[in-house]
Amino acid sequence: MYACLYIPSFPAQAVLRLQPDLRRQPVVILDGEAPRETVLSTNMLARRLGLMSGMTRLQTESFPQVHSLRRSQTQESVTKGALLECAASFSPLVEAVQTIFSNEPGQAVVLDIRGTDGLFGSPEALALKLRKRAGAYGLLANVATSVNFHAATCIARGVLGVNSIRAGDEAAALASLPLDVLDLSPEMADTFRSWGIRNCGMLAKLPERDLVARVGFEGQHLRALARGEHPHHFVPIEPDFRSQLIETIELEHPVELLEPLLFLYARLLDQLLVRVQTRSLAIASIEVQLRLDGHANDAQLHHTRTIRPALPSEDSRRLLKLVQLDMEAHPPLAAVLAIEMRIEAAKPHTAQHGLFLPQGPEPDSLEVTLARLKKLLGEDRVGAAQLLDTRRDEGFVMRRFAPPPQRNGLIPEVAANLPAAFRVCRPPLAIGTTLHGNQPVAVSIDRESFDVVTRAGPWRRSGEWWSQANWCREEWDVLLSDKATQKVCRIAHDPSSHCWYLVGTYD
Amino acid sequence: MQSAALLRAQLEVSLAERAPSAFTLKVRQAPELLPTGTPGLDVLLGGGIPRGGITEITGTSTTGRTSLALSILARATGQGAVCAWVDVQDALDPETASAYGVQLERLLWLRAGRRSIGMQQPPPASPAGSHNEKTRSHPYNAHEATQHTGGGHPRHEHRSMGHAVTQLFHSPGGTLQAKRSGSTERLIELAAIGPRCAEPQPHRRKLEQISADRLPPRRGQTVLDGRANHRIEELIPEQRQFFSSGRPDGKAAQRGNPKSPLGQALSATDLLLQTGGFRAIVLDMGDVRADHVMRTPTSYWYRFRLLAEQTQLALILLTSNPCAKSCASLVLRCYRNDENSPWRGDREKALFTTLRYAVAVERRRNEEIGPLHKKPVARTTTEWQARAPWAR
Repeated sequence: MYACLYIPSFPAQAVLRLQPDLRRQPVVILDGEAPRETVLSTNMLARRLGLMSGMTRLQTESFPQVHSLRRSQTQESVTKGALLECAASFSPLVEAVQTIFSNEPGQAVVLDIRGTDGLFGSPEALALKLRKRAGAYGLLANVATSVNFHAATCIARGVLGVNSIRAGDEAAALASLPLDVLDLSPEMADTFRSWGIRNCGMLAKLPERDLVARVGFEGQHLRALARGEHPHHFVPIEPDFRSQLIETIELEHPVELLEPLLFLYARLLDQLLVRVQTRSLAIASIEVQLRLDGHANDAQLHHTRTIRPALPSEDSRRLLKLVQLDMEAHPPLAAVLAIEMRIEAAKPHTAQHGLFLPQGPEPDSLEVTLARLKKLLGEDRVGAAQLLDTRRDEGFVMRRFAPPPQRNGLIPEVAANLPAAFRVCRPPLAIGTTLHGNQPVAVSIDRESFDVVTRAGPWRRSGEWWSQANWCREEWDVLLSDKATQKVCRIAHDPSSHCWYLVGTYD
Repeated sequence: MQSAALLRAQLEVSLAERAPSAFTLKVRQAPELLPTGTPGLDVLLGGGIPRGGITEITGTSTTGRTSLALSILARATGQGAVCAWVDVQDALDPETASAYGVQLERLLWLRAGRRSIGMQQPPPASPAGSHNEKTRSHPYNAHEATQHTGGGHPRHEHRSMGHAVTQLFHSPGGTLQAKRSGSTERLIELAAIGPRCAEPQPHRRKLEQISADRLPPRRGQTVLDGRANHRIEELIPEQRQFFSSGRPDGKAAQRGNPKSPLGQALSATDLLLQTGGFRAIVLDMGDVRADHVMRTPTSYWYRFRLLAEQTQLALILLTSNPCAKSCASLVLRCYRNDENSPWRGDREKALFTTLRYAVAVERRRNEEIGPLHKKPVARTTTEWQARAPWAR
């Protein structure tokens, strides 16, 4: 048993899939070199106006309400991948069928649905689900089921909606369909037209021997197709689900502002989310690649950003917010011509929180908050500090803040002696120092004078003498006093540059 | 009386959609407490600082404000909770925090204000004598300095030795490798690399003097002492950036004009409070001048108090003077206890060892008091001490 998923007017649907606002308007897809472009594909509304494939651009411009769009082979390729992925979610045996001679190019995918009754029910039920799934992917599809591969394909090409053909009824189902569904060559179409053969039923009634004698074995092949009896050797393909998670959209005009792009990001993201959710997965990372306008240099032709949420997420709003914040923090250098969004799928995060464990921030909310904070303060100003094994001041690096899972709250023991906290002066503040016997006796910090009441030092520190980043200095712990206040500070002297500076204050 | 009670009940029912239980006094629940880690203060506060409110820890420099806040965070992160430190002047020392027991991976550190210079940057200072006439160059050159009395400090023992040895033998720029390869140019280059010079002091431009009585009054001006009473025009640019936006929230800032550090910190705190899930958030304004903090609109503190109450987190403000006014649930004033010297040893070989602090409770709002009675709060004080890491 086979099911054929057929997408009529495939070039038009591939372009309109991510532009739902254009679906309600007549649209033609132009192909070829300007100015000799011709219509490749049309949507239903355009066909009702009389537009058809093969018309020139000049002819289409005589219809003022018609939108003329350029063919996008990139979007067709991406849509074909989505179509295969849609079919593969119903059956592991999938074969793509390409129309060759049809005036209205479509894309067909045939599934071997033997043994899927337990999962999806009868062939009719499966066909309905398949069409609904294709609709979720933004594609209007015809679905036909039959025991004959070619019969299912021809019926899907010729009949709108869902059709389920019982075994033995193929010839009757095909009888009323025009010969175009057989994807016959123009020469054969002219021949049959001259004979007065207009549909499959008339072709099926022709005597086989006489037909072969006049048009050769191609006639025999077409007759078997029209009778629903032509055998087929099924050659399944294995679509790679993870590599197909791409959506792309090409813009008619360069877009510079972020707000219009956000709508497009949302469409791409929603479409990708639908695709991963059909597999019960979530989005682990998003890579946005923008093709820019006005840059001859290849290095600047694309602007690529990768957003990795802390946990795989299915929340499109939060994901879109992350994309927005990242794009605001790293805007493209030129107007955008095309957007390609590629995602990685992963299993959704599940966590079992304990009743008595301290509650932490929600990972999704925390991710958005961190992105906002990075935009507010700077990329390297938000995170968790990680100490380094060094004696140098500022011996730490900022890491991404990802708190480990909560554990059972054990109250730590109270330390008998708490260490004296130190407040660092970043960057170290240059100070003036009065020395007496090589020891500081007065300090001037930011035009304020302090007497050094007590001092301890110098404590000599140096390091990394083996590299260019070598450093050396002498430190003093001093109790500074003026008329009103006293404070304990750490001051340092660079013996090489003879500079004194304030390292920080004990607090 | 019955008719009055009936009327009251009817009014309450009719107003229930707008104001539930309009005439019923709300019974205040005793707040959960977050231990401070200092036993004396925990006893004084009845267990710790309140969650779901604002706690102000005030005091001047070297009064133990930061130590107290780190002690609180050490307890909170030790229990597995997540905390945040909003740093207005980028003054937190992660090494000290780690010494306190703060689990740094559970502490979100937000650094407002100036860009960090990174650990590879040289310590800035002005050339000798250019900053102050009294400034003199150190009498020791680099060679003599190694002969100076006084050895390495105990706090610097046994650190990064493994890394140093690895770099010595394997680093492309290592001295031994340069010697082994016979690269004289590299050796000369190593010898010629000067010390990292300090950042030059910005030039201060003299502006027109305006008498103080001609300036408009400012919020918080009364708390200024004479020493800190500078005019904006006299401030160096780094100080002046606190005034860069008309308001601390930076609403008056133009596009491309970043917010002031205080405005950034307040916005960041707001975001964290709205996110929720944190046990404690420390807003460190310890080195910000009092008049700048006092100029923060009171609406910020009201909103922070409301959000803290909703999310049941302890918002801790480190300031030099109380600023949250009635929004603060608890105000602690820190002092330095001068009875004992923090220095050990004689004058020639002194060692800084111990700082003794005192904490006074200035105001508490969450005491067990009757609904209509306000209990006068007596000033209570406790003492504690913090030792230098090398003296423990």
